[in-house]
Amino acid sequence: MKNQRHTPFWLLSAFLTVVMLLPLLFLLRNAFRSDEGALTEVFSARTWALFSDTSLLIAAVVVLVVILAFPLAWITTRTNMPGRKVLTWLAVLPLAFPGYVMAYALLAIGGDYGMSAQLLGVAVPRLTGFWGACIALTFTLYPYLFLNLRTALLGLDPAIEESARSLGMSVQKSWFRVLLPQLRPALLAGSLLVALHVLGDFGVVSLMRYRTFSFVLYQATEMSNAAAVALLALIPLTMTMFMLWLEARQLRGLRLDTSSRATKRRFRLHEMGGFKGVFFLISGLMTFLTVVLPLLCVGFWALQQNDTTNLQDLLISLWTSALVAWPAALGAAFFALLLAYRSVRHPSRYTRIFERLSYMGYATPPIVFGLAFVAFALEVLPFLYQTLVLLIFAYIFHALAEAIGPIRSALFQASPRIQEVARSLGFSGFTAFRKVTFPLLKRGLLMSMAFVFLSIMKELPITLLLAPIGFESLAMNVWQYTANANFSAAAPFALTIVLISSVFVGLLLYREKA
Amino acid sequence: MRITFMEKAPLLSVQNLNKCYCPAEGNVVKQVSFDVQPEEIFALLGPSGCGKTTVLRMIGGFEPPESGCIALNGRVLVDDRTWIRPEKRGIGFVFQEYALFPHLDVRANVMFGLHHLPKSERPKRTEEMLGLVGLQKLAHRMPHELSGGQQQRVALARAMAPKPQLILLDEPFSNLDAVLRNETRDELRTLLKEAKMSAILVTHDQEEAFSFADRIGVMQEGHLEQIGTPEELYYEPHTLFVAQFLGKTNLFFSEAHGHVANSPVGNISLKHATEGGVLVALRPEHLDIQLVANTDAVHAEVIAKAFRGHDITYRLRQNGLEFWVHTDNRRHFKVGDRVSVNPVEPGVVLKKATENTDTN
Repeated sequence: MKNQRHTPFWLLSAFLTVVMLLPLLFLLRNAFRSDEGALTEVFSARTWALFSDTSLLIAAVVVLVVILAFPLAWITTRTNMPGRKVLTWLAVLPLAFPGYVMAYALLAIGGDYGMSAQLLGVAVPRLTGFWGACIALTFTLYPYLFLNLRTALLGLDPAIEESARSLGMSVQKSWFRVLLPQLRPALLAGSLLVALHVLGDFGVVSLMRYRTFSFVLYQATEMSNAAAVALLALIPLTMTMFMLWLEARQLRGLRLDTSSRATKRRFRLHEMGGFKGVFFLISGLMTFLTVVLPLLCVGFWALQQNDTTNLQDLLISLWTSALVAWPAALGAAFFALLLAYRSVRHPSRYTRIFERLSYMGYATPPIVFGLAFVAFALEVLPFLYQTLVLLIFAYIFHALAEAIGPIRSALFQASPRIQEVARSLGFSGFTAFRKVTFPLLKRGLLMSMAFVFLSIMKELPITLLLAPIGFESLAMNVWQYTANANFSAAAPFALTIVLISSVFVGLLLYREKA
Repeated sequence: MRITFMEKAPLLSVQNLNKCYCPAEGNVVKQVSFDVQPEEIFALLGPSGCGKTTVLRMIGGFEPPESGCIALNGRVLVDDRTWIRPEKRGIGFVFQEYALFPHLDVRANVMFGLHHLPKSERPKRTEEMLGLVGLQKLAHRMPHELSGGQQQRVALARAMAPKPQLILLDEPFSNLDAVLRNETRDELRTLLKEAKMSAILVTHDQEEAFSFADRIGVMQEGHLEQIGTPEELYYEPHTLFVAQFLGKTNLFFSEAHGHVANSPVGNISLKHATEGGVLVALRPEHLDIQLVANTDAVHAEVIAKAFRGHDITYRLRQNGLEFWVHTDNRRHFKVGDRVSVNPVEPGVVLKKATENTDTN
C-alpha cells in the first residue's frame, strides 16, 4: 500500500550526506589530532579577538543591509513610484560586483596614486580595515535581501492585508501586524544569507586586511600545523551551525501558500506623494556608490592598462571560468529540484535534515569547506585532488543552497492540488510534475541556475584551494593583482567579471518580468 | 424523481476505511463504509473537520488509508495489498479551489486529460465540453482572467472531459455567491445526469446536499452516522446528531408505551413500537396549533414569531419547555396567544438519548 516511491530520494540523500559530511568529518578528525602546541595556539586571547572582530563585522553588515534593502523592496513592489522597474534593475546590479571587485574599487579610488588623486587631484584616504570591509560587503550583499523580500512581497495575497484594513487597522499598523509577520521568513532567510556571506567572505577581508576567521585560516594553510588549522576552522563552522539552527527554529512549520494563490489579484499600489523626491535622492546616491563609482573605477584603471599579454591571459581565464561554472549550475539546479520538491511536498524529519545538510555546503565558510575537501581528497581520493572534477563537485555542493531557495519558493506557490488534478486526469506522478508543476517552476529554476552560474564565475576561496595547477580563473587574477596593489593589471579581469555578471542579472530581470 | 438502485451492483464500494494522520490524535476517519451506485449522486455531509474530505482524497488516491478497502466497478483500488495510483483510477476530481493550471488557457486546461484520445479527436471533445458548460467564447482566456463561477465550470469541464465513471467534488460551490451557487448546482446536476456519471459531493451545507444528491451519508467525527435519501434522513434520523444537523427539530423526553409516547406536549404516535424513557424527535412542521378560548385547558404560549415567506416559524413554550412550529403563511398568531398543540405525524425515537434538551 505504498503510494510514494522513496528510493531515488534516499539514494540522493545518501550521496549528499557522504559528499557533505565526509570532508567535514576529516576536518574534525584532524582537529582531534591536535597536540598541546596546537591547543595553546588556538585557545588564546588572539582567537577571542578574532571571534569578536568577525561577529562585529557580521552584525554591522546585516543591519546596514536591512536598512538599505527593505524600503527599496517595498517601494519597488507596492508603490506607484515612477521608474520602479529601473530602480529594481539598479538595486540588483551590485550582484554583478563580487566582494573583491567592490573592495578593489574602493581601494583603487583612494590613496596617493588612487583614481581620485589622478583624476581630481584630491588624494582621499584609502578605505581599508573594518569600514572598508563593512562598506564593500554591504554594497555587494544587499541585493540578496532585496530579491528575497521582493519575491515575498510579490507573492503575498492582497486579501490578507485588506482583511486587516477591514478589521479597522491603519496602513501603518497593518504594516507591523500583518505585512512584517508575513515577510518574516523572507527577512530572516535573507538576513541569514547575508550573515553567512560575511562570515564566509574571504575576498573582501583579505584585500581590506581585516582579520576574520576566513582570512586568518587562509594565511594559516601556509603553516605546517594541520591540526591547529583544523581546530581553528571548527569555530566558524560552529558559528555557522548556530545560525542554521536559529533559522530552522524560526521557520519551522511555515507554509506560506494560500488556497487562492493561482488566481490572486494584484496589489493596489500606494501613492508615494511627497516622498518621491527624497527617495529619488537616496536611491540616486546608492546607485552612484554601489554601481557607478565601482564601474568608473574599474573602467579608469582598465584604460591605464595597455599590455597585450594581459589580454591573452584574460581570454584564457574567461574560458576556464565558464567551463566549470556551467556544469556546476546545471548540477546544482538538478539536485536542488529533487531535494526541494521532496521537502516541500512530502515534508518529514528526514527531508528537513537533508535540506539542512544541503545548506551546509553553502553556509560553511568557503575557506573551511575548501580545507575540508582538501583534507578529504588527499586521504581518500588522491587521484581527484587538484582536478576539475573535484572542483566542480565542490562548486555544486557549495552552491546547492543558493539553487534551492528560488525553487523552493516557486514550489510553495504552485499548489499541490494542481498536480493532483493532473494525476486524476491520468498522468503518472512524474508526467504530472513535468506537465503542470514544472512550467510553474521554470522561473524559479532559471533564477537558481543564474544564481549558481553567477556565484561560481566569481567564486574565489574554493577555487584558490582546489583548482588544478595552472588553472587561473578571472577571480584569482583580480585577487592576486589587487593584493599586490597592481590595480591596472587587475582591471581588465574585474571588468570582465562585472560585464558577464551584468548580462546574467539582466537576463534574470528580463525573465522575471515576462 | 429519485430512484433506488439497490438491485444493481455498486459502482464504488468503500469498506471499513480508516485514516490516521497522527497516531496521538487517533483516527480522523473511522470504519467508514458506503456504496455508490451507477449514475448516482452521493453526498458526504458533515461539519468541517469531520473527515469527509479525507474520505474523498482516499478515494481519489491522494491519501493512503490506514486500513480498509475501496473498489471501483469490482476492481480493487486499495486494500491491504493493493495500491492503485491516482492516474490509474479513472476518477475525476474537482477541488474546492478549482486548481486550474495557471500557465494554460481554458481550452488547454480542458484538453489536458484527453491524452488517451487520438490527437485529432481531442479538439472536438474539448469544444463539446466547453459548449456543455457554456465557455466557448472564453476558450483562450487564462485562469486569472475568469470569474469564480467561470473557473468552477472550467474545473468541471476538465474533470468531465475524459468521461470518468465517477467524479469527486470537494465543496465545489463554496467559493460561489448564493445565487450563482443554486444555479450552478442545478446545472451541474443536470450535466452529470445527462452524462450518466456518478459523483460524490463533499459539503457541510445540508440544503446543498438535499437538492444535489440522490443519497447522503452524514458524517461526524470520522464516523458515518447514517446513510439514506434526503427524505429518509430528514423524516427518520437515527441519531440526535443527524436530527439536529439536518434542519430544525424538536426534541421531547417521553415515556413510550408501544406505538405511543407521552410527551410534554401530549401524546405523539411512534412509527416503531418501543417501551420506556425515550428521546422523540419531531420536525416543527409536524406540529399543528390551534387558538384555545378556554384558558383552563392545557395550552402553549406563543413567545416569538418569524415570517419566512413561504412559511412562518413560531416559538412556543409549554410547561417550561420551548419548541418550534412551522405553519403555512396564512395562519397568523400573535405573540402571547394561547394555543393547543397537536402532533400530525409520528415521531422518531432517537438511538442515543442524551441529557441534552437543547432544541436547536
